[in-house]
Amino acid sequence: MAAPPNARVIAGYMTIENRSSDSRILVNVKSSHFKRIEIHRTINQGDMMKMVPRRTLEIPARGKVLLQPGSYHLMLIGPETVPREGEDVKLSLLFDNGLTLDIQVPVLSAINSSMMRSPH
Amino acid sequence: MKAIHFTFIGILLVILGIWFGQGMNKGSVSEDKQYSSAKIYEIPVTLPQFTLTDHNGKGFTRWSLSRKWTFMFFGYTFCPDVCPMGLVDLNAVYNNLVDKGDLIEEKFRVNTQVVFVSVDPERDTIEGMKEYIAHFNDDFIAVTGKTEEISSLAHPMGVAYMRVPGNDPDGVYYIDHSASFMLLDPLGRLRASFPPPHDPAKIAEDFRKIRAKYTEECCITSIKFKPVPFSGFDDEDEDDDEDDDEK
Repeated sequence: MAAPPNARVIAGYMTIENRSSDSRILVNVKSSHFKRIEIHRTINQGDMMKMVPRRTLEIPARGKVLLQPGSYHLMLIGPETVPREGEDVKLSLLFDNGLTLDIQVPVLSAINSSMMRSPH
Repeated sequence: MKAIHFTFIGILLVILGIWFGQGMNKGSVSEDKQYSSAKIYEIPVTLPQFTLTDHNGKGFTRWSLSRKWTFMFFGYTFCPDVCPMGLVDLNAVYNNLVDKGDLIEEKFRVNTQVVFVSVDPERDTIEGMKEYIAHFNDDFIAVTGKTEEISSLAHPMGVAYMRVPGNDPDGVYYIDHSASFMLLDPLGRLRASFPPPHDPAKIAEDFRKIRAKYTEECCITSIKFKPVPFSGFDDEDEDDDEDDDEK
């Protein structure tokens, strides 16, 4: 998601779908563009929004996990430069079975994207 | 050592926040069925004096809330998920009002403003706030200031926040915070809050109802008690200064 030019941490959203008959666990996310990447979940606890870091994220067999605002998301920490809207960011998703998925994700505007709607 | 100290203060502030929230607001909050997303403070919460600075370097005080309806949201610029989401929702609420031509209340010509208040003054500089808020809406105001001044504003409204403990190798830290939108009336009193999850269309609809019901009361009161529309908490000397500024 496009972030202000002075952002030091940027949120990453996506849907991870597992079409296999075994569950998969996302164990790490890497990118040369960022110092490090963490998996977080935002939870609403009595009106306090808390971000809870997670070591891993399980994608159930023949299921999917939505990384979206106010829920699971990637924390892209320490960008070399803050990517701008319209640019692409390369990420490597590492799973517990040794699978590495290299993906290219577009940087979208928070204001214009329908994704930046609170989940209802 | 500094981090530990800060954490302690954070916890203390949260406790105070909860205490204030319960002490001052308990019993006055109602969940009126005519509102789908707002909690109403039947007895509005009057705020004490506070002095903060906006993203243009101008002072932001209780006077800045006068004769306007104000949506207030607390967060910080290093917040990657909750704050952008909140500001995007507030942008949608604001645009809903702009699009229908009723950002300014018709009868008393009372405007509506959106204010983002930093709960992370250690990292949120005026310049940083300026760059950040422009990313969402040029009309929005972002304010920061001294820790104690921010708590003077936040805690009477029951807005709590706490730095998440832990030492990060890259110096990254997060702050848990309330994500409710607070709505202040034209006398600068807390009149309603909108807890998450937020639906901008419903918030705009509720806001119109609240504004229609309470604007007159506020404007008549402000005329009646001029030149000091706020009661209580006032330090006479400071008030004199502010009166001069207003002229």
